[in-house]
Amino acid sequence: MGIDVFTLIAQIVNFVVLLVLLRVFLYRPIQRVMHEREQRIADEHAAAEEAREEAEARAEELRREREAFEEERRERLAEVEREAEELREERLAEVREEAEEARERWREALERERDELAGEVREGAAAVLTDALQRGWRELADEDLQTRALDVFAGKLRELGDEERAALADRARAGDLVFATAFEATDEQRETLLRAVREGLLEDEDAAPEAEFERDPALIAGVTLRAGDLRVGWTVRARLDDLERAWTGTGNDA
Amino acid sequence: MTLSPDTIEIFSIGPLTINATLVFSWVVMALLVAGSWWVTRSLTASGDIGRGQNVLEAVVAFLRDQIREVTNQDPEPYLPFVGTLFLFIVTSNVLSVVPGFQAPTGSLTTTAALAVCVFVAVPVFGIAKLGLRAYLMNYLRPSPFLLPFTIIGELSRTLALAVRLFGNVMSGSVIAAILLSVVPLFFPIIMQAFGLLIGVIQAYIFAILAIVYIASGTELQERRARAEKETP
Repeated sequence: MGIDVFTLIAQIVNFVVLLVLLRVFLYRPIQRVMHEREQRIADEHAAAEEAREEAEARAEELRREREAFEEERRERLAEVEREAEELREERLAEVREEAEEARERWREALERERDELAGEVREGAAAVLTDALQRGWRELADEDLQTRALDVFAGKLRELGDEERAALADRARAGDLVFATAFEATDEQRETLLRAVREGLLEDEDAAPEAEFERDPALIAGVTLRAGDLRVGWTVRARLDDLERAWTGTGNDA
Repeated sequence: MTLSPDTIEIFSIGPLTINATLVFSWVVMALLVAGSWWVTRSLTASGDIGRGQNVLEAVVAFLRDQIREVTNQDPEPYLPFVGTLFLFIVTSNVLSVVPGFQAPTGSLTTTAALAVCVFVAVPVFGIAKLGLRAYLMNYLRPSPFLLPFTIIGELSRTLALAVRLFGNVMSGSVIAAILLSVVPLFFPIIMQAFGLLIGVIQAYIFAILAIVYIASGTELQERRARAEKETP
């Protein structure tokens, strides 16, 4: 067991030859292929990284676009809601106005119907009442009532206001006086009326006013004095008319 | 029982005797070269690679990783040398289970030749990387008086490298032969399998030690060069 020099040198040569051959047939091609694959993988990795960065950039861009879109959507939604609210308010006002108009029309129609009905009722009731009163007063009316009515008339002349008294006095001086009585006035009653004119209007005992006398049964009882467009007096007819107006007015208020 | 294939003479060419060591070394070389050629003739850089290419790429990648870990340098310059060492030794050791095959690594001459190659490669790589002057200055540091010891260290580790591989491979063969004569059935098979494992480990150790020696020379020089530059 020793070292053979020839074999030693031959083995060294063998090793060098093997080194060269393996370098040619093994290491270079294998490493070239491995480098190519590593390069390809690196390229693919770089491409993937680039694609990832592009995807991230695109995702970021999309995110910004989505945020902008969302903001625009919110704004438009708010605008639409505002417009809808305005439209709703407008429609509501219109409907409310229409309803108010309809209700007003309905109320007017109802009031009209009610007024018509009430008017009919009042008119009927007034007619019945005044008719009954007329019949009552006609049954009660007599000369004494007429005399009493003349006294009341004389009192009313005395209670006239200055302006109205002055106007009537002017008419009396001009002889433009017309007395209307429910019954044919007696001379005494005519004298009573003229005296009332002298004392109440003219305030002159010596005056001799001229007047016309006429009979108006519609007055039922009492007397009226007409002087142009002026009129003063006390009649049952006037009281009944007042009563009817008062009745009708009460009915309207009700 | 032959302890070394050097003693087995195959044929002679004049005064030159061709022994089994050389012949089986050529066989191993032929197998490696032919196998490499066969696999690398249809290499592809795509992801769909053949089984042979896959094995070779795994071996090359393994060697590159080992070299990178040990040297902390680019493995490309050292890969052919260290890879050839590993492939030659591991192929020789693995083929030793083939009946009639005499592993060249079972010859002290072969392991010595490989150790001489390492012995030569260390200064070659060192000079190639650092330059002749810087490399030779390494032997004079830290003191010129240590030059004999440095030279003795270089020689002794080369001798140890050769004897370690030879001893392990030869001992495996010897043990197998002895057991074969004592316990001819079953047990030698286990020892042969064990020898395969040892053979692969020894190839790995030889290759790693080679790269450690190479790296220690280059790194040491680099560290000293950096230290000299940093020292005002």
